Amino acid sequence: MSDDHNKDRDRMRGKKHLKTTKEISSIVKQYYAERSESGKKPGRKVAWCGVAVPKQPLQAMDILAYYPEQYGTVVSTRGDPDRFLKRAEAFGLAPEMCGYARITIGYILEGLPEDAPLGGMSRPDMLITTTAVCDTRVKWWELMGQLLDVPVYVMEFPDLPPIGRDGARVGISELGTSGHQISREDMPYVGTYALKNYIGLTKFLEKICGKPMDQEKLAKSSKSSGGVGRIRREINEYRKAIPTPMGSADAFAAMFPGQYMPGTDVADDFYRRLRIEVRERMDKKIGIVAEEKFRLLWSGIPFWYNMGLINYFEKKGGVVVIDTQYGSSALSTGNENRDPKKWGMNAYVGTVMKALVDYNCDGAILSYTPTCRALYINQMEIKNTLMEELDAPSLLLESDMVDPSSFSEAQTMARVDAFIELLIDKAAQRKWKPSKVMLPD
Amino acid sequence: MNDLLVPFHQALENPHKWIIEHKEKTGDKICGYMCDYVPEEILKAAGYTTVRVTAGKGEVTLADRYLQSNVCSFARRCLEQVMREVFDYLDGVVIPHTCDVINKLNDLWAYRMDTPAFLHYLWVPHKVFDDDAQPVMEAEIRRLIQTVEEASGEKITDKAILEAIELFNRNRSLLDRVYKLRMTSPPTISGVDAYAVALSSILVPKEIHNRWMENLLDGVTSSEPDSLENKPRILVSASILDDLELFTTVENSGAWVVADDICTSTRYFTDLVGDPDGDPVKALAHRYLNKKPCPRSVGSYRPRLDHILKLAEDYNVDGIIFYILRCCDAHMYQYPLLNERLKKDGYKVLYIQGDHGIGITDAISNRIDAFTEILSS
Repeated sequence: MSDDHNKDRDRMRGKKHLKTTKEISSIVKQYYAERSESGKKPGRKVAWCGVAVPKQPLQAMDILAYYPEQYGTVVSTRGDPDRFLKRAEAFGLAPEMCGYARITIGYILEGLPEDAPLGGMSRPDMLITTTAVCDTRVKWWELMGQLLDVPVYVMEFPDLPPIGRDGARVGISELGTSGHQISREDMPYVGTYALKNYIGLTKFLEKICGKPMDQEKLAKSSKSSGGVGRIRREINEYRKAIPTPMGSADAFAAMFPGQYMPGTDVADDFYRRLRIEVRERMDKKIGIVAEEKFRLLWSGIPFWYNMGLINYFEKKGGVVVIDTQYGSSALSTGNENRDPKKWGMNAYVGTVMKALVDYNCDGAILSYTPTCRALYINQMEIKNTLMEELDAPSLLLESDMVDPSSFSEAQTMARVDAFIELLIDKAAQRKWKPSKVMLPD
Repeated sequence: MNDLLVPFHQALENPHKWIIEHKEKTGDKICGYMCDYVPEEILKAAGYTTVRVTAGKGEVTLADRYLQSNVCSFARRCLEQVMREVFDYLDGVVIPHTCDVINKLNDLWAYRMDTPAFLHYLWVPHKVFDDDAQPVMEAEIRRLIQTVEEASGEKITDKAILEAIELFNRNRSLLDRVYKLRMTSPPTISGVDAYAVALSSILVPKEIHNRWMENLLDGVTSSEPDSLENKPRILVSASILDDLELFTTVENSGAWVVADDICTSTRYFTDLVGDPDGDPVKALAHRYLNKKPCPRSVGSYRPRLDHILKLAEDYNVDGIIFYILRCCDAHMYQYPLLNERLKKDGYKVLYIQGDHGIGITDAISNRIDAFTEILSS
């Protein structure tokens, strides 16, 4: 590997500011190492899951779960994504298709090689996904099922538009679902159907594992996950403070245990310690930069191969305070000084609008992943609505989430610099008052 | 051209003009719908003439603010036309959740546009073949009935739905008979003509369309059956095609399009609504869930493959053209395995990436010429 290439990689690597989040790299390594070992043990069942699949029933059945989307980020940040991307392309998957999917399909077509980053994912006994967020995942999982010849369970997880034509309704309950509107009062049967699918998932797991669901373990795991969720919301609450004690460079890393290991002691311990650190930084007014000249929100999937981009704003006196992709709900919501008439066309748009208000941001970075239709269309509308309703500027940055060849650095940085100038001016003339941090009892 | 085919082609020359003139002449209320998962029979039972929302060709400028070029060109063009007020003649529109993009098109249309006043979102389960999906689809059809009644001020009776089912089933059966005219070698009518018949059925009121087809079938039966020459026989599989350009290009290259797997033709009309047995809503839900599936549906690969293989065998096909719109994810994920399997079965396959706004370019035309040449040899 050339020196230039190494320099590029160092520059693009994200810099974390908190002590606790620096542990993430070893947690991820450990996570894969354990799986690699356990996955080879006879009798241990392995599932490849979509991110929205409920983790608790799998933990209760002692199933080893992998998340191909997460593995896509591992390949992108620790390996050579081209190896799998090119293989998928040769198979017939076009470059305009989801990068995560192309990496996984390429990895399967390469025969699940052991020299893949972090040892790869163990061969699955089953594949499970939901219909939440995008339809792409359904087709991707079905294709993996055909290539690997293993059963696939698709869980209906309806994602409904708001009632009527006034767009999103935004309350604390909507924020808790990261923009998924699972049910509507005029369509109660859809919620019932989702519940039946949850029962269907249980039956599917019982059939594959050849044993009944361990209800005791399920209850324990659910309780523990709920606890982790609450701590994450509390940490988010502290991020509203000015200066923010934790930005998105740390938060994107910190999402891993909550997203992929809820209900485990590792996750529980990690977030308890992170909460203490974030609270302490807030109390002592330790920010990410010396003086926050502007505050940003990040909407969408980050560019995993270039997390250093988030730190770039810090060099210019700004900070990415909050990110909405993996949940931005806190303990409280609302800011009476910044209350738009409308919240946008759907709950996804509404969630981002709300986060911008709640976390006292001046503008937004919208990662524009052209290969992800479902998210991308919302991003365009977020841009339009932020400007119309809150006079908040945003910048669309284009790139696939894991395919570095889609990133044009010179062009991107020129646009980022111009955006920062605009934002500094705007932030200097803020007309809104910050929302308050709610301190828990 | 056979005179009996003229009305179908005339309707397609300018579809919007045709339906506006029809509306002015008859006073019919017009309800638009997207994709082939909307039970049109309900709209018909409320007195609406149903018209599929199509994209047409042309540039995208206004819609670019909402749907940029990495989104399927069909949706972009549809939104462009909505924003240019081309669909202002619609008294209502029903948009189902079929794929991500159509879903978002619903959000945009509902939030950004004022017309038509009646806009209904229909949730269609992804797991169409799941037993538990049936009651959900029935409930969604009942919710549709309720909102259509509110919008139209007309009570929808079971009798009216049953009559609509009979009318639509008649249309499906007649379309099937017209399509079968190409089973012979050489085919009795061209692919362009057959597709003009199918495509006009999503525009022209079914009563009129049925009459035109009855006349055509009477006329063709009495005419010379082998007036067309023998040429390579091609099946076209596509996401959506709302004009005749691709078929014309293929047939100009020296082949016949004898069969197709498209959501504006066989996936739209092949399956009838079964015996309602006193519950038309149940029968409709069953039909729309179990019809030839769009690839967006869970478990759709096998039925799609079977459908294509059966058509290929029944219509004695030599080659298959996949015309898939760029960024149409559902089709793009299924294509590699379909391609592999069809080639294994001895079919020659050509993949074309399409763009709805642009249509058939010289490059595509050249590739089709080359494909036909290979089939001819």
